[in-house]
Amino acid sequence: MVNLLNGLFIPIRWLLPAARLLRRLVGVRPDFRETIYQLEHFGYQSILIVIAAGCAVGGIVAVHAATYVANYSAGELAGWAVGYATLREVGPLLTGLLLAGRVGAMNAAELADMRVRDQIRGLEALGLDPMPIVIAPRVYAAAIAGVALFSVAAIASLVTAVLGVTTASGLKLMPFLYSLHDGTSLSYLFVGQAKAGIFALIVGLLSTHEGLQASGGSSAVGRAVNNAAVASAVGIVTANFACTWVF
Amino acid sequence: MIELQSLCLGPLRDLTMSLPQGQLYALLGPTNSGKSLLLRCLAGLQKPESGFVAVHGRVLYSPDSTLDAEHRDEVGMVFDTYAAIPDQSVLENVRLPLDLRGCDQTEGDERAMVLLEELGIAEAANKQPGELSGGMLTRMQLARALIHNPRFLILDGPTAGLDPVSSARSLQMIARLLEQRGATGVVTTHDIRPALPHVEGVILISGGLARGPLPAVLAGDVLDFCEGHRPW
Amino acid sequence: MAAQTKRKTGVKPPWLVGQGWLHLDHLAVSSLPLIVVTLSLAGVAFAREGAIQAQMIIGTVEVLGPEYMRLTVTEMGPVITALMLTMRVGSGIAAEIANLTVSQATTAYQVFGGRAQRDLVIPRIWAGVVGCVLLVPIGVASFLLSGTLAVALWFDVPQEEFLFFRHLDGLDLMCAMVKAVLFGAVIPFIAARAGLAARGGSGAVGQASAKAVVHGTVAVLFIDLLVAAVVAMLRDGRLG
Repeated sequence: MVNLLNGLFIPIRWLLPAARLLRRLVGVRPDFRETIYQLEHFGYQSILIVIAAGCAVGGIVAVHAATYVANYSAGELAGWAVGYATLREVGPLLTGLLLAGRVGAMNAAELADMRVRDQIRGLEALGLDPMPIVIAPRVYAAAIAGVALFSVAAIASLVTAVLGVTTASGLKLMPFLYSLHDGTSLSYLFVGQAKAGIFALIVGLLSTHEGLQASGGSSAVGRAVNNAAVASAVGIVTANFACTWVF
Repeated sequence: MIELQSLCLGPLRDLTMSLPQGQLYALLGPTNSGKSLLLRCLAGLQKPESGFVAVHGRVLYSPDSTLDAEHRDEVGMVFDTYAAIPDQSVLENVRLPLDLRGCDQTEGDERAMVLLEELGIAEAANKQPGELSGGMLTRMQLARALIHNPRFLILDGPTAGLDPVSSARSLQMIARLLEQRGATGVVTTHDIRPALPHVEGVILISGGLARGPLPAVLAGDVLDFCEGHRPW
Repeated sequence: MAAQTKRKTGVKPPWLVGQGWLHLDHLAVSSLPLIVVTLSLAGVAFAREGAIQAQMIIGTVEVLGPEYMRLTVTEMGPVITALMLTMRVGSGIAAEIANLTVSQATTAYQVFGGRAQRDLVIPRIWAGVVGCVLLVPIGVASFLLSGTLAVALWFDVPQEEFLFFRHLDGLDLMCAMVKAVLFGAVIPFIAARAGLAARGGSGAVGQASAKAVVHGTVAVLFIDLLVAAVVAMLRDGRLG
């Protein structure tokens, strides 16, 4: 019971460090080259896995949309259901959780390794501030990559969902595309992108914070990754909850 | 007697040698010469491409052998990274080979304590490996490697991280334990000097070929080889 | 020369079962607060968004009930629970085993006669299956109850009109349980394999953990798709 009560504070426990790190980053100008390098590292190298996950999400949406078409003869609502789920609701949440693993865990692993090997302390010993050259580029790159990767995931999800629904339910492609166009508001895309950006920023902040907290040996690196993954997931779910009131 | 006959493995070609029992041998060679590969083969973790390894006339490893747990009854190993299971006590770590053989836990505890007392770390029996110094961890590993009375002990850098005096003491202790038990040992080390007084012979590996075991009295030649003054 | 200690044949190592209970405690019991809190938050968000859309498009929220129930039990509950477990448990297992691998403890275990692949992986898999089967219903209940409460509070829909249990059938429950079993098996399996494949130092531990989370997440999504497709075909009558 005590654990459950403690559990209620999980979102606050994880989000406060993110807020503190964000405050420290205000006014810090990230090193441009390092930011581009991290963008390539987090973004470009994640494309294939994001496409794969996007296709899976699209397939899942297609299965359920096809079921609704069959059960309720609601062919005209199938387009809305696909657009709503992939762009605004299920898509951003599942893509965000994937990014928590792909970007968040990777970022925390690298920073924790740098921390336990005293590489960050080495930079400070050389008179260099790690904030603009190590920390800020990673946070910004994670946020930008998250928004860009959501677009990739959304396209993969939509294409898979459209193909899946038309194949499974027998709906014709063009009428379905018209229903998708009519039923899906542009706001779904903007809301989805906004959510993806918020989720990616949370992932970047929390994973960076957890990576920098590591101290000890290789077990500390593992702990940092574990904490970063959990913190990012909790942060995303909490942000998703908050977004229902904002958007 | 440990016999290697026409062993081919990675960069190593046609290794043939005999190692009499009860002795400790040093294995030397430059980086990437195949030392670790040879040790993995001797530990039963990798099969040779051709040739065989025999212990007391029984072929243990060959290209056709299955690397199952039975083969490893003959072998004990000590690692340079201590290889301790972190959430188990020193006593439990030492007892591991007996646990894996289905031995009674009480008997295993008794045998482990005897070895820990012999090695001078009995007071650390209930501690976690993380609480021990490098030298104590090496002794813990030795106890674990010897508890099931293997005939062949492989020591991969057991003195890594130890100062020269501690290295020499460890190697002296290892040689004594092997002689008492009639087991054969092969040790790799980055600094041959502390090892030379305590080893019976030296095996040199370079360019895929092995020479040895050479008598340790040829210390000068060995040192020249190690320091690059003398070609292979 | 002291006699060698030979192994006793036919003796099954008791620690496979015993260790599984330890892993079950870490996997299920310790993950409970995380699952309850995150699934509750997700349930409120999902229900509220769905209710807003239902009001806009159909003009009423009551119709949301049956489909919200079905999606929670067959989809959102199991999948979000599994994704949370991948983050918490998957990365933890990978880190723990990777630490043993890079310190050569697994090599030592093998040299002394153990089978690291079997003894490290199997207890975690069965603990994962049992844990997931226990946690998924709790996750589903948290998602469902929080969503129902949200809709009751903000849209004045009585609970009994929203919680349409009679619209659930055996196939829905089977879908949820099959997903729970498969997720519970695949998450620790992927994590343990990532840990055993770690090579190097502390960096390798981090990489193994990250790999476990990514591969586990993708595996959960694809298993979800596969099971959903099979259930849909069964319901359609195309299979069996």
